[in-house]
Amino acid sequence: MSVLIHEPVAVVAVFKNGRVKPVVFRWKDKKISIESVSFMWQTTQGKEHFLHFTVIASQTLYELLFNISSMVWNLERVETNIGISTI
Amino acid sequence: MQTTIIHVDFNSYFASVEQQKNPFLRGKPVGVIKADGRTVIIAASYEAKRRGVKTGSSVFQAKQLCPDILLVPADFDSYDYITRKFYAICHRYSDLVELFSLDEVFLDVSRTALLFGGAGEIALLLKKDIRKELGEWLPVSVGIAKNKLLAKLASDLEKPNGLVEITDKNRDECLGRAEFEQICGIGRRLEQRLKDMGVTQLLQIRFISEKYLAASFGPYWSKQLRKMTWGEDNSPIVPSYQLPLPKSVSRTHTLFKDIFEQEEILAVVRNLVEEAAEKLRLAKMSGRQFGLIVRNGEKSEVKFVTRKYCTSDSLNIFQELKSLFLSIKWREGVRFLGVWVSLLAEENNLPQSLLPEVNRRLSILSVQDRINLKFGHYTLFPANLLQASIIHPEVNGFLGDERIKNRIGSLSIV
Repeated sequence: MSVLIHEPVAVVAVFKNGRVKPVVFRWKDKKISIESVSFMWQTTQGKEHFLHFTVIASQTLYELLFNISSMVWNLERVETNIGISTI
Repeated sequence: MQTTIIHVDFNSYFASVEQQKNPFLRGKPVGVIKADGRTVIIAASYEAKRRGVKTGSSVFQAKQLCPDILLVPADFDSYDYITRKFYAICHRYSDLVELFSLDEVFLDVSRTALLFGGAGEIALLLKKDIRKELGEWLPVSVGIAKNKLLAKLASDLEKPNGLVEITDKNRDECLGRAEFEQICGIGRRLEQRLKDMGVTQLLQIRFISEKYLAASFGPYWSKQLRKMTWGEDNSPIVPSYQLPLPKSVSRTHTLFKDIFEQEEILAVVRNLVEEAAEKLRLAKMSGRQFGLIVRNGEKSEVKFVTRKYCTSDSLNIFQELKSLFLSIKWREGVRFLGVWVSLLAEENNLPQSLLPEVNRRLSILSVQDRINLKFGHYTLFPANLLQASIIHPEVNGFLGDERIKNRIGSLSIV
């Protein structure tokens, strides 16, 4: 099940060759080390650009959002269980 | 010079993107639904397809066939992003690239194949680039042939992750094993008509007399079918900058539940009109025919009105559609609404209004469009929508929108 979080988080990321790769983030006073970035995509809202990352850490999927204009990282959602059951 | 066309097709596109994003979904049956609570599967993963789940199946049917199916709401932003990246990758290998749909591209590599060591080498490079830059769980099937019809068939013959070349030597063998649904241009109705005549394979058409084929399918389709049976197709690659101008702009929406209140129904119409009219204005076009579709189950009403003067003002368009809606005296709930504007003309070719109130409205709308482009859709919107939950633009009618996007350069309106 996907749980919307939408909270700012502190992220350690590597900026290399024009790419961004989140490595570690802190959420609820817990340091979470990212094991792999499974996907990255970009969205815009008006002239603001966002980078979305789905990352895996300790068998959990997190979606991190980086606002390129304000340089703020957010934890958007956590996948606590695979898939979403509807109806 | 021999023409060489490559067709690249993502396999189970939306579902594969979801599996790429979430590795826990990989290898499992996944059904993509439009949003949480929707009841139709808009894409199924290979694992779900193998168990009979098809695009368009209801969630109820899907769960009967595959009780462990995992339903995921669609994320059109990410699909749109992948399509743009995919399109950019294809442009590395040819300047003639046609985005055929969100997940399919044709490339004319006749003039560039030699630069990369041949069409087969380009196909392998494309697969490699897509895997490296977009993700390992996004397989593409590639077809190579002398025209678009055969290239598309070739990519469809081996899925997922196939690479097939159709040459003059294996053309008949490939056409012989193709199902009608694999032939671009043969839809369900045409397929049924062919089957009703006892034609179950494309190659059988070669043996039907010209006269009988023309009597059964008319002059156009008899010629098309004759060409298809020989694998002939001379349609050119249409790059985005050559796409024709749109003939109409539309927006439809299926509601989560039936709505009954007139005010609520009209708010949805206004919402849809806002989006359609914004597209028109950004494309610097106006229209003078305005249409409305109202549907609930089997009951449906389609009404339109044609005026002498063109407009792209959402308020004018809404007022026309409001009158149409009131005239049909709809007494039941509404589940589906659609609006369209057609008989379009380029604003440059239209006379400017002499009425100051019209020009004032145009100035206001121009400022509204600029603000919405800068800060996001519906930053400014009509007060009628204050109480409504706003329906935002989505990646539907992608090619239609692409045609409009070409008119507005780099501005993204999807």
